[in-house]
Formats: sequence, structure tokens, C-alpha cells
Amino acid sequence: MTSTSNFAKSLDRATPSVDWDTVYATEMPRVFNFLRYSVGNDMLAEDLTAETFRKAWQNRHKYDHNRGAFSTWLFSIARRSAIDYFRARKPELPIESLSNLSANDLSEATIQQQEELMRLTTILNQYPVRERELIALKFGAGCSNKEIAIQTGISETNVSTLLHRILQKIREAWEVNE
Amino acid sequence: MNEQFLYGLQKSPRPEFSAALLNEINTHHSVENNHRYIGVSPWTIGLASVFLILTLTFAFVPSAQALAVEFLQKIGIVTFEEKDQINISRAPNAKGAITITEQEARDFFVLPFTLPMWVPEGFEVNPVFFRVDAPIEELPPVVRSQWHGDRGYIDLTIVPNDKKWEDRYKDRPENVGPGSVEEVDINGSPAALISGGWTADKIPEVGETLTYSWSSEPGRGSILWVQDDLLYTINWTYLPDTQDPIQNDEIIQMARSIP
Repeated sequence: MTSTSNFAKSLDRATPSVDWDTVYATEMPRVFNFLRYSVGNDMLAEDLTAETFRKAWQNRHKYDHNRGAFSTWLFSIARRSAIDYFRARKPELPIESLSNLSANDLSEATIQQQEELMRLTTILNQYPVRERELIALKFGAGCSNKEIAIQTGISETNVSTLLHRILQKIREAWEVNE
Repeated sequence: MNEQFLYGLQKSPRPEFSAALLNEINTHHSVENNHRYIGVSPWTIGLASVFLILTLTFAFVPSAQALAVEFLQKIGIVTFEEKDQINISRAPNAKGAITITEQEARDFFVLPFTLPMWVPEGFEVNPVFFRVDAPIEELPPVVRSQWHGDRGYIDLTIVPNDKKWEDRYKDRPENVGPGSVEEVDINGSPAALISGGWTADKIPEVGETLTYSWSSEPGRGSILWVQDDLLYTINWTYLPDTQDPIQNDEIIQMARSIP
């Protein structure tokens, strides 16, 4: 039996129709993976995830359900965090990622997955921010095309078309690198 | 390299990170509480707590129409009145609400209950959203489950249809907007289907009284009926961006799928 956390209880008061423990349990991994696909680095993704939730917490009274679902609002903060990161950083490839893994993480499968994520983000880094964002929302956060359309303001049809094109570009780049 | 491959690069956050972040926010919460910080956002009050939900749910049903009074008396716990506007003072959130698993809810609840076998496409149940609200001496046990999707939220509340509820609502007329209620059949029992809900300009503070107007916009409503000595209530509400609000017929189908 799980007690409702202080986080949930307090947010309940501000937005009473949302189950905040469930929001944290379901949305935090999605936000983390969105940022992970965006920046290609687990530790950095953790930092940006924490920053996202801190901002959400600090600005929770500004959330207006009339303007969208809570997850939409949360992802708008996460997207801003990612954009701010890319604006602030020097252009570089995420080659430092492996050094951030702890000894417990160094299984063969983990290393391979991390290498593949790095390879993906290396490819994505050559694309415009919007295209990177679409991939991170789709495959990192697991958003539906409709959710992505709401997030980005692009029509659902355009989201589908753009994703198709970007995937084609990634496939080609992936094969070239093999 | 295909789509499945790209999805396969996801990983779960480290448990230590997840716990540490939640702990940090909780600690921050405690500090803010010491400074009497109260966050407010402009939510309407329909789903604030089980207590609030039930109060407002029953507030949705009118008595002005003879037909409504007649069939609602068969449900047997509430008197009803139609109004254009009402004043509501926000009650405190339910105390002691806990989140438990479905099995725990079944073990704890006083009567066996059943859940819908069908929900509208695209809606998923919150896996740990069953709640039994305490203290039991103040309120009978309440089981609540919520489904969410791109089109909105659907909330199911189950309470025993016993004398406590009858006493609670005796001599207390409850209110809904004009013409908002109709009778439908759910598994052989009369059910009150209410289209719309009360809306205010902002979310009140606990104890604050606001004037609410009835909103009949689609995608929002309530239905309540008695089945197997249990009072079932389903509330639903839309998400602002949806072009496809939840339809009454879908909720009726969902209610009828409770065996």
C-alpha cells in the first residue's frame, strides 16, 4: 500500500483532478527519455529532467487546464530545457557519454545501447532542432503523433509526414556510418 | 534500423535518481508549507476529491421535473432542484486518501464490486488509482478508478448504497442546470444521466465560496445508478484541446459493460 507523497498532496491542492503520484510515475520516465534522446547523455538527461520537474513545481500555480493537459504543459517545460541547453552549449558531439556510466551499468547490452543512442544523437545533431525534437518526442517520450501535434503546433498530418522524412534521413545516415 | 529499434533505445530512469528527485521536491514542499505557501491554479472543482466529487455529482441532478423526481426517488438518496446558478463553498480535500492496488481495494471494500469491461478507445486506466478514503467513521468506503486519454478523463466512484448515504443527502436538495438530466437504463436499473457541470471562473481556496454557472458544453457530465447494492457514479470531463469530446453514448456503453 503506497501513501500519497507530499508532492502529490500539495499539487492536488493546485490541480485537484490530477493524480500526481501517477503523473510522477508515468511522466518522469517519459520526460527523462525525451531529454535523453535530445541530448544523448544519461547524466545530462537526469539533470535536465530534474530541472524540468523543479520548474514545474515552482510554477505549478501557473498551470491552466483550460490550455492543455498537464503532460503537455510538463513537456513544454522539458522542451524549453532542451532548447536552452542547446543554445548554451558549444557545438560538440556527445562523445563523453560512456564515461558517465557507473560500473554497475557496464553490461554489454547497456554499453551497446548507449553507443547506439550516441550514434543516433550524433546523427540527429546535424539536423535542425525541430527535427531532433520530433524524434525525441516520438521515440524517447513515446508520444503519439497527435500528442506531438499538440506539443509543437504542427498539424498531425504534418507530424506524420515530417517523421517519415526524418526517419528516412536517419536510415540513410545510419547505413553510411556502418 | 527501424522504428522498433529507435523505441528500443529507451531506458528506465535510475531508481536512485527517481527517488532522489521526488525526495527533493517533497522536501521543498515541506519547507514551503512552513512558510504557509499555497499554490492555486484555475481548475474547476469537479474532481478535487472523492468527497468533493460525490457532493458535486449529486449536485448535478434536478428535481423540478416530475419525471426526474420520480425516477431519482428510485435511486433513493437525493432530492434535486434545478437552478441557473449556485454558490458552493469549497470543502477540504478528503483526509487520509490513499492509493492502493485493485486487489487491495477488493480486499478492503465492504462489498464485491465490478469494473467496466469496456471503456472508450484510447483510454487507459491509471494502474494505482483505486482509493479508499478514510476515516471510515466519517464517510463510507469509497473506491475510485480513473481512466485517461487524449480526449479527457473518466472517473468511476463506487460506494455502498446504504443508509449512511441516505442520511447524508436527506433533506438536502442538490442542484443541476435546467434540463440537464435524463433517465437512461443501465443493466435494468434507472440511471440519471447529467450533461454538463457547474463552472466557476477560478478554483476556490478551501473554505471560499464562489458562484457557479451551469455549463452544457459537450464532453462533460455524470451518470449515477444503483447496481448490486452499490451506487456507481461516473464523471467525465474533456481536455481543452480535444476536437473529439467524450460522448454520452460512450459513457452509457461503458456503464452497461459493468457485469
